[in-house]
Amino acid sequence: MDYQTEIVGNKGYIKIDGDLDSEQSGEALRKAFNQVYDQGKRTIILDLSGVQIINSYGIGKILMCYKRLKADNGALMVKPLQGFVKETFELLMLDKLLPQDQ
Amino acid sequence: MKSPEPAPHILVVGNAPHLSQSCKEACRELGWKHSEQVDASALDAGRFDLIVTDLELPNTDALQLLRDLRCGRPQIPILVVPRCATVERSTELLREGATEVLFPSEDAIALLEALQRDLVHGKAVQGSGLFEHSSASVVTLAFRTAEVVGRKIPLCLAAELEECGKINKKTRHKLELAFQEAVANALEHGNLELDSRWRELIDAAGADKYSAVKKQRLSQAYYADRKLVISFEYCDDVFTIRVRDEGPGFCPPPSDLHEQKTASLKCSGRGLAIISRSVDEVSYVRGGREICMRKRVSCNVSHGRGA
Repeated sequence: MDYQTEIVGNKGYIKIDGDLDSEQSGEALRKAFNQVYDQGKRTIILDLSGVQIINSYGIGKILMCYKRLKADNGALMVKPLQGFVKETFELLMLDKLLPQDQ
Repeated sequence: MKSPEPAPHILVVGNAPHLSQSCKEACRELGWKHSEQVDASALDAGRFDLIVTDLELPNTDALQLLRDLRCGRPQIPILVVPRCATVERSTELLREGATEVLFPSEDAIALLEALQRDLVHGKAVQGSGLFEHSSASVVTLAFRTAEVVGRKIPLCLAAELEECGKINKKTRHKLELAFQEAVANALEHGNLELDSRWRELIDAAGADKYSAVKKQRLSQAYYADRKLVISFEYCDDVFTIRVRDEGPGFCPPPSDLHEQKTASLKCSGRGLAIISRSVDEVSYVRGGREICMRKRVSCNVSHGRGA
């Protein structure tokens, strides 16, 4: 799994490419998140358009990011989802929890 | 007063001291009866509940031995534990009547893929290929935990079903997700007895307890040698997937909608929520050590809509 981070104004962006379904990919997401978080950004947008497969492990990592930001009055948002990832988010009702960044 | 059920009786056929000893110890623990057969010329035709064999007898062809064991005993499960096996060899063993092949090599996942493809394409059902000795189209394989943990076991039968037009893409995704979650649960929470709450226990070096204990247990035979047993069955347009572990078991949570809704923010329980929403029916047996997932598939696929 690869990732890219970008800071635009007061927002941090993380783009994930690859499957988010293993300890390795979860660790990569944690690193990406820390890079943005450590720069003081408390509104972080996840772009999962390059993710084909996600499972409960990957979702767990996303929720850990969500909890950290929420504890700091921040927000975790997602770019519009599609395919398998969108269906999984809907299945777990995460689409109601994580607002979309248009 | 009803008399108690007689203890199951296992027959071990072969010439492998290690296999024989393992079976003997298991039977002693379980209170089962145990018999051994090391001579093919005098195969005992008595009543057994399970036959375990490495198919290694002096001056005896292994496949012929399997046929002899199966002959006249269509209902008895035969577990084959070959000393070495290839995908082709194991497929052949299943075709000749083995109920389950304990496949010790790195190619185990390749074998599972091959069997799933055969199952979907009807070779088993039509009796022209696999399982012609078996009562239904069932594939069962067992893996050692250490051999498959961290590896993705593909559910290629879902892809094959989509290709055949039996399911749409959304249903395929749901089946794959449910299967992967069930396998992960069986390996990590079942066989390795890992607690999800340990993921949030981070030490001074930034390492979480979950990963540390997992690594440790994978190096201990007690955990690493536990089996993961996966079986697929296809009957009357219903696919049944069973995933079994050898862990301590668990008490399944209530499956009401509230639990499923709130599961998403807990540190555990999402896997079960995903499974229950992805298939038509979920049940647990053997004290929670086996999950059984059923999904009805239909030829009338409405593309783009959920099944």
